[in-house]
Amino acid sequence: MLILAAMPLGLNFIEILIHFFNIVILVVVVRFLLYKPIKKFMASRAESYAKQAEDAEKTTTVAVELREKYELLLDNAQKEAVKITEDAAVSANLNADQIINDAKKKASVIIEKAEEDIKIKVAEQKEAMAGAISELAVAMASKILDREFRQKDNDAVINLLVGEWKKG
Amino acid sequence: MYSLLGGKFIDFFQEQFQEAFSGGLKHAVDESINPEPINFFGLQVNPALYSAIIISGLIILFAIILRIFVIPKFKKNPKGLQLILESMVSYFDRSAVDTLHKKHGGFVGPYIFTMAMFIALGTLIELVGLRPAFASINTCFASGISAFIVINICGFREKKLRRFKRYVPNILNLMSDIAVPLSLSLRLFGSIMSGFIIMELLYSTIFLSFAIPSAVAIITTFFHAVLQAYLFATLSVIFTQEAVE
Repeated sequence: MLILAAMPLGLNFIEILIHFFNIVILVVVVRFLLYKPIKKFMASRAESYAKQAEDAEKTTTVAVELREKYELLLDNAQKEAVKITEDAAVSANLNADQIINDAKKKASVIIEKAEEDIKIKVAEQKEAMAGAISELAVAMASKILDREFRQKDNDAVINLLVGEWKKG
Repeated sequence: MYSLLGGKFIDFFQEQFQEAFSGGLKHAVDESINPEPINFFGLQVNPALYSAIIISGLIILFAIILRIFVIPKFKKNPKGLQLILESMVSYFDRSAVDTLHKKHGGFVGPYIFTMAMFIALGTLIELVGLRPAFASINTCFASGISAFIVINICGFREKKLRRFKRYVPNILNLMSDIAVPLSLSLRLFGSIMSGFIIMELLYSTIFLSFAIPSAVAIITTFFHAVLQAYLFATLSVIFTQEAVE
């Protein structure tokens, strides 16, 4: 039997030993039941946040790369569009010139043909007119020969010829 | 009537003062330092042992309940009890790991966490009328020895047998190493015991035992509980750091 008062301040080695084992058990239990699970949970949460941050960073990098790629594509497309427009303009100008030239050529051909036709028509008309005049002359001669020429008859013949000329 | 009551009141105070200063206070101090031993499986022990066992049992029960019912339901956004637990673990883990690196921090962190909790609750048990677990030199020595063992485990893990070299040129290093558990134990004991004695003194006289203890307990019990828990944890880490450097 140990007596408390026998040692200064009630020092008792058995008690110290009991307290020591109590502390050891307490530390072990708290470590495995409380400390480690909470720490593990916090570590896994920190890890998941880090992973999320990493994923977000990766996504951002991919997005930036895509944006750069699309910007490049857009830039190229714009350049290509400008080039196509310019080419189209040049081509249209060339076509327009060609069309105008063709039109001019066709017009000149038509004009030439028309002039030729006019010449032919004029020649034909001249021939026709010559024929008519000769017929008229023959008719006039026959009229003159049929009776005595008078001033009055003369005027009547001329009016007759002119009237036929106008009709013809 | 008034003078009769007033006279009785003054007489009552006079009696109290006479009782207090003629041996009442001395008795309270003696009772605080050397309490009546109680039986513990055939051993006559300090009542503080029961307080220590009750607090340990409560902590273990609390840990089991938390492990089974609370920790599995932890959420990513901590609130309430989860926030308190995480803050505590985080604080002690960070102070151990930041000072001692991960190699020793993982070992020392749980120890200082448990000891801080044990010291704080072991002192606050006084509020329910039990003797504080650390108002016994035995509890404090056990705590100091446990800290000494933790410090030396880390020291030998870090330096192996080279740790003995520090005693060769200067034997005073041995004294300073032995002084560590003594210093931790006696600081803890002196602080808790002083607070306990003050409270016992207040309760020992009737005219001081109304209202005043509730105000004084803030300093002598609450303040000591938190401060000593913090000091013990911090000093244990600092001494361990010295051992591993």
